[in-house]
Amino acid sequence: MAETRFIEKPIKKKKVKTEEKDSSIEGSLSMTEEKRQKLKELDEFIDDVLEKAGDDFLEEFRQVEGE
Amino acid sequence: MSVPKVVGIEQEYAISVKGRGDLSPFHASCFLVNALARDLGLRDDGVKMLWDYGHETPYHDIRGELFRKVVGQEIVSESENLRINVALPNGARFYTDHAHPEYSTPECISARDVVACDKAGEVILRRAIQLAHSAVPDMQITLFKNNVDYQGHSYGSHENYLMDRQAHEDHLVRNPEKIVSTLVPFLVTRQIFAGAGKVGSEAPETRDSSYQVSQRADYMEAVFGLETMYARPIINTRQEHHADERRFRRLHLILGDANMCECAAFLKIGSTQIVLQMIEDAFLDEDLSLRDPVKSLKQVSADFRSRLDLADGRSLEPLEVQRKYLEKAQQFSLRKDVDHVPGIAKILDVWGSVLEGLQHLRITTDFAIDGDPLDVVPKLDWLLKLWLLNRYREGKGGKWDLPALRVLDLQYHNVSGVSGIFKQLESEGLSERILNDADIDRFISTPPPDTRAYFRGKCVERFPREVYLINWEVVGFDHGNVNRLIPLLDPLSGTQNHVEDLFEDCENSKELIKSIQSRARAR
Repeated sequence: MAETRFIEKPIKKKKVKTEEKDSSIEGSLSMTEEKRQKLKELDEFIDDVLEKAGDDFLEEFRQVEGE
Repeated sequence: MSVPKVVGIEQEYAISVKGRGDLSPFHASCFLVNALARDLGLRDDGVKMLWDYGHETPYHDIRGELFRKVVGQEIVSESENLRINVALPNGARFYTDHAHPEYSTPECISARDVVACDKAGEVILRRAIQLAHSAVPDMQITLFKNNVDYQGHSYGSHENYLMDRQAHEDHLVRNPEKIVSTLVPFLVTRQIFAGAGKVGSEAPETRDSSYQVSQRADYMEAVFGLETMYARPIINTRQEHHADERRFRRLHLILGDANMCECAAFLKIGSTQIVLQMIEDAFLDEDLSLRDPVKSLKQVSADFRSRLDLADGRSLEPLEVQRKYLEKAQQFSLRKDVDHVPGIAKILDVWGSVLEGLQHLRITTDFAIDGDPLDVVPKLDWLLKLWLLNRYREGKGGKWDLPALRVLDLQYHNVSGVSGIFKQLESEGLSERILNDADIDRFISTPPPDTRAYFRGKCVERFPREVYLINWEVVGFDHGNVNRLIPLLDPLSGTQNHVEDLFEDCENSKELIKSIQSRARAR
């Protein structure tokens, strides 16, 4: 992978309300307790998915080549 | 002169079976097909609807060559045919392809409809899983709408577009350099919004990538070719058009990823429709030929801002290439002498906002999303998945080599029920939608009204005991001493406008055929 993989570009054209959109989805979700709760629930959901999948999931996930 | 861009998606699903170790993926796929067929009454006594393989010619090449030794289709016995196929009342086909369940949408005219049909397919397959589980409670089948298994295997999410015969022959057969200078650069760069995202690499060219834009790029090895399971091409040259060959051709694309995000899927299909129409109407006048399209494909997947070498010596970022197509499409949309693809204004709007969003997106060299001021992340699979993976790995030391990241990558595409991560994200409003639930629900049991899929679906719904064979371009009825075939060579005929009244007035397929004949004589 090249060192220049992703070049950060300055924002020139559009003015953005930074207090509302500081960084991706968290930015737009960061202001309310309800949204914080949503992300907490998502994290719990993810943990649950990983637990249910189990340790052997990747090894067992073998597909037949197809088209 | 362009023709309406009728489009369909063929989605192969990865399958996992637990609780019945002796059940192979092939048999589990067949189990799903038949569970659904039984539920719809399509395995009742007296119903024997065979899929007609007579028009499938996977070894014929549009360039005139015939590959391999086998000519024509494989012979499939009737019992095997019934075991692996079911044609649905919504005009779709659900079947076992090799060892995968595959859902082929009915033909649609609009990008919005085909995305809704593809999403309806997810619902239908979920229903099949529930039915199978009810029949065998200790068996758990899980389906994943993705393209890689992290064990070196890939499976497809194919797109089919109707093309004008003359334009197709001119661009793909007689002068392939034309398609290399117009369509190929678009396809190579569209992954910046169409990619489904993938942890890691499965090809030498991208071996240093912790995360990639595309699932399929690692598996593409040629610009043109007939193959689909090795030496996969950007442009598949299979000569199998499923329509009147005097007027139409089918463009079969196998390079795309399986999209979960409605927005990404809509933009992938809609923008491709517009570009194809511009090609047919000779509207694209800039030669954007890439020096090495296959290398560029992998390059974009590894770094969506890498500069691509063009054959004429220029180098452009994928975003710059896409902007050129968008600008031409915007000009093209103003033409009054063209029947534009349905929803072109919406497609252009989404296309523009996504490119603008990507332009302003800030991603660090370690793939952390450092800024998304225009909210492009919820629109695209590769970014939404990246956001999720970043959220997880941040709490685990920030490493990319955690096995859990690959598990989450796969589970993002789980369509079976409670463990589907994308479904969870969508239900929490974290993925931007194009459709509403009603758009999807209507295509679970109803065919699109504006293509031949309407006729096919209605025949399955109304006269299942009389249909003895069916495929994309024909419906055959068993009338005792004689079999009657209704050709569907024009994908734009057999629509609701054309035939709804016939279905309302007819009690059986004999009456239907008489009505069709008398209407034809009256013209």
